[in-house]
Amino acid sequence: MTHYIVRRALGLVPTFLILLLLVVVLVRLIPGDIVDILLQEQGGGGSGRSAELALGREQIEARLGLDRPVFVQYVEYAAGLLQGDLGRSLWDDRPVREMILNRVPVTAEVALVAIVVSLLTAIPVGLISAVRQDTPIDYFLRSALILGISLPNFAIATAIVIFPAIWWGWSVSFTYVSLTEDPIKHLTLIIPPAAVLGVQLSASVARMTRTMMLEVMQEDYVRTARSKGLTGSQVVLGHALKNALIPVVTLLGLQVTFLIGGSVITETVFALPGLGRLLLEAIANRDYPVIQGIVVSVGLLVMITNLLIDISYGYLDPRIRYS
Amino acid sequence: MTTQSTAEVLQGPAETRSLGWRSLHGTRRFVRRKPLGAFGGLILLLLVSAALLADVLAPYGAAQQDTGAPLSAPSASHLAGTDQYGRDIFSRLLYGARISLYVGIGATVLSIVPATVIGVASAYFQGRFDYIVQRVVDAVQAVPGLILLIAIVVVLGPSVVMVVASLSVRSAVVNSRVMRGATIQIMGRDFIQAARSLGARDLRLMLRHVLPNIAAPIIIVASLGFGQFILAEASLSFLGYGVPPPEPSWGGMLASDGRNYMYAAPHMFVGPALVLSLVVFGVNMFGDAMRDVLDPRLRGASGN
Repeated sequence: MTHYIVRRALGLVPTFLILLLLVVVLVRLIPGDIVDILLQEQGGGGSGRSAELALGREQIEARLGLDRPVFVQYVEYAAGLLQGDLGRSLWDDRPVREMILNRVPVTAEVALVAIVVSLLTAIPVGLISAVRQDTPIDYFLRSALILGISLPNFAIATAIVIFPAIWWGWSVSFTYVSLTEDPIKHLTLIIPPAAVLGVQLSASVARMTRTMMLEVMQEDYVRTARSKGLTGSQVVLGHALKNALIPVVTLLGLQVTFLIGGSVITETVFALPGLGRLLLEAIANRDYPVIQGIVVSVGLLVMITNLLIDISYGYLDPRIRYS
Repeated sequence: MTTQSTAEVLQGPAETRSLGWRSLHGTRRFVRRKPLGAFGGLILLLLVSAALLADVLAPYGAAQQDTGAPLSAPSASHLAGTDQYGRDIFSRLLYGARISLYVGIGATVLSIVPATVIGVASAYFQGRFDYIVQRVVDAVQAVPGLILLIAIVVVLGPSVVMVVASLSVRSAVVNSRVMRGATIQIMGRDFIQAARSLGARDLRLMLRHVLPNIAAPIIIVASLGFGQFILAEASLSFLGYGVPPPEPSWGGMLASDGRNYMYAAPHMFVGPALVLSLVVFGVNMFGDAMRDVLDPRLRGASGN
């Protein structure tokens, strides 16, 4: 087991280096760079960094380290990462790590509530759908969930914001309040975006639960449980569901990317100060270190999650042995 | 459900009847066994007809303005109302079907072909090549789809073609893993060994022996991807990186004008939202049914 974990963890190293390379190159392919934007601000008398006001293009590039070959920038960036240094924002010189850590709580909170929402809806739905396979209720439940992923999430989010305002004059608040300031108000800000993401997430979770239940219900041990006289619900809940949920755990782990990608949308609609909005701002400003920092941290998080899922298999299903 | 081969389920039992009779029979069977999937297929058919017949069906041109009646609610002369320029929304939705179809089919083809090539090659040659390719897939998979999509679109620039290309990149890489998995299973079968010992070369083995046997996952991944692409284009539109106006893309109609005029003219939002969700719903239902019929064990191929 330990051997397996170490080997898998080491296997992440090449993947991570490739990710880093992809990100560093892709970010620099974005047309127009921060130097243009900074120079524009100088010309237009904008409110950019005052320190740059008197500088020309070469000086700005040298200051920001953009005059060296991309490969050198890559190596330096990787070396910095090893020490937990994500660099500084080209825009306002703040450390990227700090910027990201400031934004993580909101995104993580929405994601966690979304997962809870999705489990609460998806598991019962998947279960009923499987037990009543190919009956009207199965069709109804599956259609309802697929309908939930048939609209882009910005449309659902916008509808949540606008229709209550039209019908009842009630609207979602857009001023962010932290949990410690006012817990109730904070939750009213978190729940709508979490519900949007959660409902979308539940479509795939319910589908997986249904498929797995159907498969598990045909296993020998379920027949054995039935034949020794257990009631239907004892069999379904005690024997089948537990085994059917193993792949659901995997699926949830894989959805980390969906939740973070979705946060770009929900945080824009609901004006939440999370990671998604930070990323959009950074792309608009061509703030390379911030874009890189976010993508690389998210990528690392996803890789570690996947590793943890693989390891958790051994605990969830004792039949699985690692070699 | 007992396991049946693709041919059996789609065409009914192999009988010595004409192809036309068999496919009719197969369709009836599909409708009976998978009513939701058949409903989805019907919606797909409607989408294709709308796209093909837009010139005939649309009462107005996509860019034609009725300057006397901007933002008017649905009526007999404007079935789905008009937008802020007085353009007929019903007509724009019909022309928009073309863009959706173009985005959906374009991105599906552009992703499924490289995904198959990469996946089959990776599984076929194995070894170091496979290892490196799989680490690249891991790396790409670790980046949230939408984020990668935004980055690629920003790099490639805004146009219909580039949006389609951007949509396909991640899904090409990620779906190659499904193809690889399917190929690995096939590679272990006796007939591959037999063909090889008869002297078949690599390319022939891959094209004549592997490819036909991984048709099921290819069809499933393709049919599930279609809806995802249409949705992703809409999300891009919302963030300002989608198919640029004045093209009547559903995502664009929904994301910019529909949202901006939601208070004043909710019909501008509702129309595109209904059409878009109906089509994605239909495609998903159809894809789901195809997966059930072709390969109930193929999971995690939804591509998000």
